Amino acid sequence: MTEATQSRAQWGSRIGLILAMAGNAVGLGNFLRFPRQAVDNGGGTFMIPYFIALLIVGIPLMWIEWGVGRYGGQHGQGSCPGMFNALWKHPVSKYLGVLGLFMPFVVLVYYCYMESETLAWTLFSALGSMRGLDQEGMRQFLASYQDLGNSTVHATWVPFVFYFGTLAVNFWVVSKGLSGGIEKLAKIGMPILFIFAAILVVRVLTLPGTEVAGAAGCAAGTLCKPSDGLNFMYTPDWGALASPKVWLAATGQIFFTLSVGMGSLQAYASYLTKKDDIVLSGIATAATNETAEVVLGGSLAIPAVVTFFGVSGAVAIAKGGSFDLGFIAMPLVFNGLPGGAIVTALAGIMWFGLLFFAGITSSVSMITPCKAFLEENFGWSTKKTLGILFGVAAALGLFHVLYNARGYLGEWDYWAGTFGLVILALVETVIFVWIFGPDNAWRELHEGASMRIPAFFKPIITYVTPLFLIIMMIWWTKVEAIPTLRMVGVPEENKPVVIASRLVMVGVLIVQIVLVRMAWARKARKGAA
Amino acid sequence: MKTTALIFMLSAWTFVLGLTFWSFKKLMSTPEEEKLPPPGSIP
Repeated sequence: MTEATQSRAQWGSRIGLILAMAGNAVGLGNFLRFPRQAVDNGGGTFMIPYFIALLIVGIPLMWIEWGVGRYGGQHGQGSCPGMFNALWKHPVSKYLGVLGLFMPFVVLVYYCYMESETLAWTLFSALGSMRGLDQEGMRQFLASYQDLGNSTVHATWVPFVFYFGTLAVNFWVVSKGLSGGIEKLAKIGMPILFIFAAILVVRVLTLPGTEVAGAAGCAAGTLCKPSDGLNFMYTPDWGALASPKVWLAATGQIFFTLSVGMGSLQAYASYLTKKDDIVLSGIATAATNETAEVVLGGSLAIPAVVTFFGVSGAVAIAKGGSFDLGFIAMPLVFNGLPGGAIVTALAGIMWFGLLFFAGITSSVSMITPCKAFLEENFGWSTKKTLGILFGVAAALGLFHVLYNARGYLGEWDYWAGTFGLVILALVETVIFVWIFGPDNAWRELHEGASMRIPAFFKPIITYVTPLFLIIMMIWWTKVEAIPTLRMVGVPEENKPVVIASRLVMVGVLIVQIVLVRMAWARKARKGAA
Repeated sequence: MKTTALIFMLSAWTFVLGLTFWSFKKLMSTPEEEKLPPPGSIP
């Protein structure tokens, strides 16, 4: 063990580490994005490539990130610039690692906005604010929160209070340290999340059938039951498997759900020692996340929404986006539950409460890479580091609260939270497997492991995973990135906001590049002295 | 619920739940290394 490792914090317990890692992975995407993607890509048809992608992209990337992180931690590096530089002694490696600072920080800023909405909706559910609203009323209720120029329902200050409150709670948790803050949050938040989700799953799956007007697409015509939702989720259309769109959507979902390509898993893994079993811990983390997503996430929104709106209605709602599913359709379902106001309130508290815990256990991990980078490279105290990061995040987040409805958040979500993840994953895979070397990478993964990774995973990690990432990047560039860059479909009045949001992102990236340059110049001066 | 859908769903659930329980059981069965707080670190 190096001197650098000895002076670094450590995880308090193995179970705490796994829960924190799983908490990082289990996020809003498990309960909102997954059902939306499944519905939008043919239900059962989506599930087959989903499981294949889990095996050939998800789990290998999980191992790679744990390996990169622990190796970096052994060299006293808790963020990607230092980790990449430890693996590849080339001047460019540290700049490639900037992606591992940029992505988590940018995602943190807007993710906390979405997280603050789940907190707000938990309170609104408790207060019965959405009781009796119809679909249009529910849409207005959401639009009024997200669009400050159209605040007919909520006071203008409400989104600000929830956003800054959520951001402050995140930084407060991180300020309590690795085992006293992050690990403790995971130990409390993860069981609550699973209990709430399990109760809701039982309630949803025992719902009586509902008569749905119009072409509902259910087994008994217009009488729809939760089983119709499960039928839709698990009946594959073999012909549709030939569509590359379904495969890329499934691979993309695996990416988001496991939080790979973000820089935060590596930061958590940097606090491991050579004796920790990253092979088994990686599997346990991925499996816990998949249980939350497939067993719980897959049995909540879709069966519930299909019961009340029919298969065709659920597909139409999902096309409107994850928020339409989670913040409009689900409260409508809760309003229709037998049992009156108390059951509606409890269901809403549990649904939005579990989303909040899923969100916060992920967002605290996004603070860790930048915190580690600043503390390790500039010698700043935790208080000073978190104070500065909070100030910057709050200033940047202000624009999300002000301009969310005009495409500001969507732009950040696409470039940092979608496209950027694939780039970082590809870069780290190339550095760890190809440059550091497949044999060295394989050896590093097995340090401290109680089991060996099956041999067929070695060619998968070396060739198949990077190839999949390259295909995904080329496809997304062609189909999504270029039209997004050209602002295809963006209303004329929103274009200045979208351009401004891009400039702010570029500004963040430039500042981080400059900081990395300064950090290495500082190291060089110290080395020369 | 259709039989094919039910089989697919149960297979998917068995796979993820089985993997979760197996990995946790195996992790918990290996003795945990005793960790002392590192010098200078915030607990």
